[in-house]
Amino acid sequence: MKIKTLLTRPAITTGPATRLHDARALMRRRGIRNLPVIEDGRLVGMLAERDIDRAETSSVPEIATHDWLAPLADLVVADVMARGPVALHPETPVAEAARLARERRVDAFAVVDSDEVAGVVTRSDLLAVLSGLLEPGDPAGLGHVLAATSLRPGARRALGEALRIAGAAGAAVTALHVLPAARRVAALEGATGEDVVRVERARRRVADEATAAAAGRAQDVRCEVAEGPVAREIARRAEELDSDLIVVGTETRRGVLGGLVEALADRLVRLAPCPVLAVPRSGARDAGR
Amino acid sequence: MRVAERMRPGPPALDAGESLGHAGRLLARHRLGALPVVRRHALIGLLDAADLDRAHPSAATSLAIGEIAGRLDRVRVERVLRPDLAAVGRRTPLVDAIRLMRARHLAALPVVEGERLIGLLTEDDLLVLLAQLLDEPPAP
Repeated sequence: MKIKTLLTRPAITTGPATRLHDARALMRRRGIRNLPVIEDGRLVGMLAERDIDRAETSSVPEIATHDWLAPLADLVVADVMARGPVALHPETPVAEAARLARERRVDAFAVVDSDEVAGVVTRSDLLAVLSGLLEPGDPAGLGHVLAATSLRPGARRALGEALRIAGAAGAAVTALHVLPAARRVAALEGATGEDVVRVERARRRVADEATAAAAGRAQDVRCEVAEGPVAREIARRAEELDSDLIVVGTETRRGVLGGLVEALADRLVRLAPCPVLAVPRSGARDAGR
Repeated sequence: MRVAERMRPGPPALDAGESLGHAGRLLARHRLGALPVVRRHALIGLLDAADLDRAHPSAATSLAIGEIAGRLDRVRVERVLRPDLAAVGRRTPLVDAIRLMRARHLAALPVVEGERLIGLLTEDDLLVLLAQLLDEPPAP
């Protein structure tokens, strides 16, 4: 397998004299993190989003306070790009690229054919090849995201994050709320009218939350309510839906540990058939921001 | 193939109270793109090299080169940790872990058992696996 099979779109490039602001805007607009830098038709460097992050104001206030002025204002690409980047030929075997990426600590290679930049191959592209080898025929991206919501005020951020990830990956989303009571699900035979009303009311609330979390974006979200032990029900549904990711809200940012909801995330990782992303109610960091 | 077959067991980890300077040195020493962050042995986050780049003094800083390391040695890791945390179990299919790493641009993925960090799945180890699979002669 050759690198050229991974080149699916024409290279997006920049020049050494381009203002850093503009290069960053281009990256954001095209959803890419690396730009080959071309001068007189030849590759002279590679600009990574991380190079810009490093030149930009520090995220730590007491370090940022030492800035003279807006840091990116006067900078051009040539000021921060990596010079003499590792370039690959389209005929390079993918296995060789994987070895080079590791040994030379490269995030993105420019692919060059007789001095012409033909494209960029990133670590992410290489991992997509691995996905395909491990599960031939399966898409390399996320196919289904299960967003578990407690319906509490803090859970909306997690739902929004799930929608964002799914939207970016073109994945389907199911929003699920589990009624923690160990009672029969309304759909089952023998359910009382009261059960049906309770479940229907919860389903409407899930739909309302999903609409609020989507924040104006049109996104198709399937809304479901289940009943039973919370972690087990979420894991069971993820299995049935063949979910590739479960997103769950947590109350604090003690990570996957702490109070009730964090304990849920802990149990989920143990039971879930797929990875679990824990999203705390507030995006704020513990201190300092 | 499951995560357990390719994770590094007992990975290095940063304590939430350690400094950014220390974090940078640990990332370099272990040649890792990201390190799990723990508090009292419980996983609370993942710090990657991009987090350190964002914390680094800007191109317009008035700090002298010699002052920068000292500044980074005084900032605790937990202050620049991003809030969201992804984790997998040892039995998670490797392919699902890779999908998540690509979707979230994660250089590594912590493997947990309950709250406890038991392993780390790294991009580099996955690249090694890729090279191995591609080099294998095709099955007869």
